Amino acid sequence: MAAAVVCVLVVLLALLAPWITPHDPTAVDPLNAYAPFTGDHPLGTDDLGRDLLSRLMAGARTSLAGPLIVVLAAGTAGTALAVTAAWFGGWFDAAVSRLLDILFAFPGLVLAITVAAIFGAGFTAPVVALSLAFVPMIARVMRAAALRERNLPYIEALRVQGFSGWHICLRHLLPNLAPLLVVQAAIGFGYAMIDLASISFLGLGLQPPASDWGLMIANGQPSILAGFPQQSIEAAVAVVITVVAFTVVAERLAERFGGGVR
Amino acid sequence: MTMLEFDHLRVEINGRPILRDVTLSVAAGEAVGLVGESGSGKSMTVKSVLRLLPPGARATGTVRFGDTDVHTLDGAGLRRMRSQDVAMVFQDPRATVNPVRTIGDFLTEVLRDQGVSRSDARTRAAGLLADVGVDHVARRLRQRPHELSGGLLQRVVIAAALATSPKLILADEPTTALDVTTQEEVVAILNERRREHGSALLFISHDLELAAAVCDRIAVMYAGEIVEILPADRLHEDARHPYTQALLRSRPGTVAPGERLATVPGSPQSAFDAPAGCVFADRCPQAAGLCRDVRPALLPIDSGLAACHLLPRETPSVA
Amino acid sequence: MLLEVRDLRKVFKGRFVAVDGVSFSVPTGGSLAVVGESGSGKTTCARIITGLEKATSGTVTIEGERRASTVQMVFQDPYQSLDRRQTVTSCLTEVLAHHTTLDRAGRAARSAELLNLVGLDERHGPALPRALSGGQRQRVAIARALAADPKLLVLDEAVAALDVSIQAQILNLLVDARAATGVAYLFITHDLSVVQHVCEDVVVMHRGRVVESGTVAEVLSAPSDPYTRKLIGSVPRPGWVPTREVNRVC
Repeated sequence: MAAAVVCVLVVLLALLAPWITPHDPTAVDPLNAYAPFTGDHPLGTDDLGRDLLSRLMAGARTSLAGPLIVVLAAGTAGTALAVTAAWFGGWFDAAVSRLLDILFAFPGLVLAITVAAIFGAGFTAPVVALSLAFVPMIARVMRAAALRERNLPYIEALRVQGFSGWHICLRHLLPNLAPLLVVQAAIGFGYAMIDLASISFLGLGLQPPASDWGLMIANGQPSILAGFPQQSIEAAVAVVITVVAFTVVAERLAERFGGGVR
Repeated sequence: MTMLEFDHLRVEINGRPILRDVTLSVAAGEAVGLVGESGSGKSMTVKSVLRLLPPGARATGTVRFGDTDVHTLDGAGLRRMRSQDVAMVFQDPRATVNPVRTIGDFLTEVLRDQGVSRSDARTRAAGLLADVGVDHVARRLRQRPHELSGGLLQRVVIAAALATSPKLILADEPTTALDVTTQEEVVAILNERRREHGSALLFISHDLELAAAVCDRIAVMYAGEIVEILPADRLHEDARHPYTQALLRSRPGTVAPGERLATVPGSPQSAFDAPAGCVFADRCPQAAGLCRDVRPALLPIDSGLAACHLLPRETPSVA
Repeated sequence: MLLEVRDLRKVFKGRFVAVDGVSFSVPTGGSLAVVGESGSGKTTCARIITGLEKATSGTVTIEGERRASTVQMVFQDPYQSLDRRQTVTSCLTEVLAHHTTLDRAGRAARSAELLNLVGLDERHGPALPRALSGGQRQRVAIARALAADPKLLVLDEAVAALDVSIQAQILNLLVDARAATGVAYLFITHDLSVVQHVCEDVVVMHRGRVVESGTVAEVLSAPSDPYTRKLIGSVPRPGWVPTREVNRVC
């Protein structure tokens, strides 16, 4: 319950950030660098005197949008692949399974870093690469569930009725797999967030003056040596709280839906 | 001598009754059939003998095995009872036998546990298999469960159950998963071996005719209560409870072709859903006002006992 | 003949012969039982006739125009043969929308009629399968099969998973439904005693072959094949004494 509240709060903050940030997140104020926690700057300021709370709120947008796109893209592609493989079976299913196994063996983060290094740092390249890397993770689970579901007698009953494969998959198979997909997406969201933060931290994601959380952790590093660790710590805490909240919600959903098949 | 006795056994799981009131005894060497539909609580009755109740279950009343109250047994006593005195045969033999070990391992495990030497245990296991009609014994001992048909595997389970010459066998739908021709064989074997060992049998089934063929007495259960007990050979003549009669009439083999089968309206209830008075009142075609509110006692009528307000009682008696 | 099955043969994985030269037929509005134990090939026959499986050789001919809805099927397991997310009404109207030209109101009226036919009423319409008992679910499955207005209904062990008292209700329902709609039955079962209530003709299958066929009355009262005799003898009945064979055949 608390985790769900945190999730909603984080999402709301991200959505409303442009209107509710107390300060302009990119407004530099060198005289106010490393300001202590005050009413005006509840989380202090960074080395350039920018308000950290505002930067965290603004950063929430890209920090959440990245994983969201990854999960949506990988979820759609993975489920489509899983359902077609399970539906047609035979050599097609075997080929898809082998392909997924091979992709699964290749670490997603490394793939994303490589792609970002080749195509240039930014928001798009790592997100696209990570989406690809997440397809096998989601597709493998969904294929197993789709296969189980496909072999239930009600699917045969629908086939005897003369319904087309399209109709059965879209109207019956997919809706019954939906709970499991939601669970998988919520779990994937946490992983994607950490991966994207890592990429930003390595400097291959968004570039300054953006305030992506991973980037904030990296940018705060020099200040740690200067005795002001708040930027890195605060951004790291934001990542941890969000990831934990989403993972806990995913676990609860998984318990409730029992993996999607009764 | 009474081997097993349920005395006002009541089982609740998280406050919901599963068994409302079960009173039944099985004499030494006697076979009693416990018959009922799904949800009647027949499996739970049997499980309570070995204290195999699910978590959250609370049992009141007593279950006596010999002269010990099962609920008072300590860990060692319970293990002794489970491993030597009482044997259990379940519906699905595949769920009972470890799939990765050989039939020989499965059979000798119990014997070895009782200090029989390895080679003796092998010989005895082979003898046990031959007794239950398994062919190619030497080869079977080396095989694993998936290499045997359901019928063969259930014979192996029966052989293992009888290995220790138990005083009591609990059989929970032992032939439901088998074909009818195999069922006949397995039931015949169970019957024959049981008589040879002098074991008592509590036989659970949904099939009245099958239970009547195997057992000396039949107890009919509905919604967590025993509604009628009668001698197996008087089943058709003396069944007096409306539920027993309905069960007998609804079997397709019992009426002439083309005739309609007698049906009971509604579907089987659990102890939780059944009315407070007579458990069958909701579905009984003859239920009167008294039936819903007052619980009928299990009273003697003809050759058996029946719990029904509507039956004529020869002498007004108090339970 | 409504259904003609000729020399049906099905070989799985190039080795296991599940069905071996099986022929039988069902007259229009008739009722044929295919009786056998596990491994007899009776379910494979049913699956070939409904199009779920392809025969290795042999023919299945259905009289008249071939449409998807001519042959329908009711499955054994009432707990898994309905979509757990779909209400009873939606389950029926989906079929009606697919097979008929009825408009929305017409479909609603027809599905109410179907529910009525199988002994359910409008209260059950919005229910999900999990709110229904096994017997009620099987009634829904029968209504769904009848919704397509089939000429042949294949019942694959359709009463085997039900409690005795419920089984009797469903058997009576099947008799009534045939009288009301004129649909023919192909009744796949292992239980000979069930057959005489729903069927006129019977074929007995054993290890992929037909060992005996005839009218139910003939076969049940005077079985000629030893396997049929054994099968009839194995059904528990009053005065029945289970015996084991001396030669220990499994």
